[in-house]
Amino acid sequence: MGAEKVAFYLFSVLTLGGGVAILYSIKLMRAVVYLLTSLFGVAGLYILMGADFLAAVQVLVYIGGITVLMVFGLMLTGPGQFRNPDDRRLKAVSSGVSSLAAAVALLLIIRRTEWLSAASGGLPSEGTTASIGHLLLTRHVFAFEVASILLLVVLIGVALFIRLARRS
Amino acid sequence: MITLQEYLTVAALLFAVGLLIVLYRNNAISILMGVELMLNAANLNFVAFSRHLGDMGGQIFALFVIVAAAAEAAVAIAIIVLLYQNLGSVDVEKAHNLNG
Amino acid sequence: MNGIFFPYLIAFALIILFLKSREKLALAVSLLASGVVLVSTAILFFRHHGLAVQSDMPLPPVTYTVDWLITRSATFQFGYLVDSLTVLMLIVVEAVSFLVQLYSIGYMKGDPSRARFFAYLSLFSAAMTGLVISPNLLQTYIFWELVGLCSYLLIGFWWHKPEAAAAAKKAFVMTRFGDLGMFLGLLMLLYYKGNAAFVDFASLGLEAGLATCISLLLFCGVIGKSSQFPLHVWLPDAMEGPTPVSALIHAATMVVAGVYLLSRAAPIFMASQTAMSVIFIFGAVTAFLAATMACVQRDIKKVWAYSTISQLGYMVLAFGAGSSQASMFHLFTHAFYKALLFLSAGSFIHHAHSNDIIDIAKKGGRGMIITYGTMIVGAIALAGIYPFSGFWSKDAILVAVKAMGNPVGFGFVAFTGFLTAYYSFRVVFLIGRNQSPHAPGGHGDHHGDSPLTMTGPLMVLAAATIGVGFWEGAFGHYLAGAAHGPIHWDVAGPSLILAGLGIVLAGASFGWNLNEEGVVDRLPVMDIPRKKYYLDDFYLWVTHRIVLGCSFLCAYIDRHFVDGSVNGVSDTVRWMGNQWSRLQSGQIQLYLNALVLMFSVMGLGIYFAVKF
Repeated sequence: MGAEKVAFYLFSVLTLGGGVAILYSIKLMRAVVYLLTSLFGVAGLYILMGADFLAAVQVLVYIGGITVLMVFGLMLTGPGQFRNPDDRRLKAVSSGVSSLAAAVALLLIIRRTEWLSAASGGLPSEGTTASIGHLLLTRHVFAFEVASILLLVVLIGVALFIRLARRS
Repeated sequence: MITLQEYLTVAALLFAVGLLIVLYRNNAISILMGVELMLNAANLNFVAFSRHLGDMGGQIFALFVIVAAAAEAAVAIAIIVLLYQNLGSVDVEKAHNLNG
Repeated sequence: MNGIFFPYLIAFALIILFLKSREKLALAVSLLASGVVLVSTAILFFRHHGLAVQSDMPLPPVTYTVDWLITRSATFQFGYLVDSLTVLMLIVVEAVSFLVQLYSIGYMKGDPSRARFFAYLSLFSAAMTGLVISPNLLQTYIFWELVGLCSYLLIGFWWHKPEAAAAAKKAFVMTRFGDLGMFLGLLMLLYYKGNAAFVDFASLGLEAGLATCISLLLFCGVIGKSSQFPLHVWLPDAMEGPTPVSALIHAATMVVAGVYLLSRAAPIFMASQTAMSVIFIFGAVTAFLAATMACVQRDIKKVWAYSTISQLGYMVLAFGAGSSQASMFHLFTHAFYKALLFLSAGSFIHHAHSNDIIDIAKKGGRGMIITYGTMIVGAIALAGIYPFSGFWSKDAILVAVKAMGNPVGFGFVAFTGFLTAYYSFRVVFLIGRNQSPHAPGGHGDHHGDSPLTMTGPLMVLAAATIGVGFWEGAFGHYLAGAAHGPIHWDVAGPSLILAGLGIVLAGASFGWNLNEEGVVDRLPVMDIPRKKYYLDDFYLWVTHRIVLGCSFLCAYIDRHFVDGSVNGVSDTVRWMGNQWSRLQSGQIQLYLNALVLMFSVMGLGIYFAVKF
């Protein structure tokens, strides 16, 4: 078994395991930590796939930003109520069935589709950062600008939101 | 070599787990976590295809997805906090004013 | 000729539409219409009679029709038929209508709806005229119903009186029963022969069974309209209407429509011996029972009402005995003297403000000379005393009955004659005897008699009553070409003796004392006639038990099953809606769940469809 494969399995287990752990956790703070783990796993997978810049952004933004945000949210809204699992059997079954159906559908499609053969050359081996930067400012500059506007709007909006709520 | 299908499989399974969390858990923040997982699954798909096809567009797109996810998470947390202030709880089963 | 009833219709329409408040004008219009029609009838009569005398045989009928309703199986025509029978009936109808309208001016004075009354009178005359000139059975039926409607309107003229409204309803409903039979007979005739025109009846060639069936069905209509037993109960109640109405409709014209029908459709009836016997029996029974009931009434109008029923029975039994002429002649004479009796009763009532005979007597009835005198004339005619008209027509009837050869029947009819004389003179004596406790000799005539508009018609009718009788021979000749007949003393003799006995009994009971009850009244058997032979009770029982029972059943079914199923449908829909709305729980996770499931299934489906 090559090291690549081992790494792949490791990171996959981390990702999926973290996800499943979120499902079963009772204490929400633990759930946030499991989320964190899962996101780390995803970052690892990115590195395996050769997207180094993206992995760094993932860690910075997702883990460093969003997860912290969730912790804040948890702090502000309390630990949540514990529900007796027996009352929730119908919900468990129905959600299990739905997601199982979705998974099966996706997996079938993945398995049976004849994907195009791999492109030759693959990704640049010296790192993707430069090419991403270049592309952002040439081909995808418009999307880049819109994304920054989006962030600005969200910033203002949320602040306004909270302020209005506090007034009423 | 790790094939495309293997990466796609992981992404699909991650998506299913995220979906399960969204459908099952009744704490609003837990649902948000599930949503993030689903987004990540989609990102994995993008990057996998980008690698397979040798096109950087996939990674660019994944980047923008991360940006959007961040924005959306911020707004979502704000709404959840307000919901807590109005309803007294963040249990989504308690927020059923649209029923009937 | 065709538009002979148009003046009446125009009068009716005008009054109803425009003149309800302009009373004097309404009266004038109506009276004018009546006068015009009367004059044209008189002209028609003289010409027709002149022609008949010239040719010395009954004239063939003159018909004029238009095709009105054309269907595959039969064509219905509308028009008129004029022959001697028509002319005679027209004389009766128009003359009595005119006199009654004249009389009503005085009688209905002070009534706020006087204009409406004249409108209805005009409408009735229009309908009756139309009935008389009908050339076929269908048109007769149409006008028959219209006449029934007018009867309803006029009986219930004072509709705020609950008894009047009930009586009007009773009349209409009971005659409807008879009309049902008549309509069935009409339909049978149309179905089997396709032709309902009177002129063709003689040549129809009906075999006996069919003729019996149709005759009996048509006779049902006669039973209803001409008030034979057992459908006679509406006529006494119909006295709730104003007296001119009673005189016009329930003595002289509408009720005789049935008798007229018998004579018109004679070929059909005479084709079946069974039907003729049945008709005779019904007529005889009616005559007898009604006469008994007339003997115990205290209301003067009711006496004459039962008398009318009895005399109608005479007309019917005369026809049943085979003599259509005797039947029609009796109709003719009866119309005049019965109208006279009713109008004179009305005059008494108008004066005494009460229908009760004793009250009338107490309030000085015998002082109203013209009224009382003409009433005596009418009573004599009714009792059948020579030489008044009633004698002649009764004589003709008895001759026909004797010719049947049935001694029981003859005795029955003759005994009824005795009763007739008794009850009519009972009224005469009750009013005529000296009621006043003070000095004898008319203490009560300081009020005097009724106005001329009321007494005038009385006098005219009295003259007619006296004079018409002498026309008997010519009548028969005019009608059907029979020869003039001498007086049949073998029949007239016993009838006169019986009549005389009746008068004597009445006089002995009431003439010389102040009794309110006579010998006859005290007979225990007379309780049955007094209770109207329990017939009304029977009808009421039937209605309540059977008819209303069915109604309740139907109402129950309607409410529970019919409404139930309709409501059930809506309830089911609402229930389903409620169930569906439970899906809209407001829980987003549920919606999302359903969405994902749906899309996955769709995806799988497409996948498998594409794959294979």
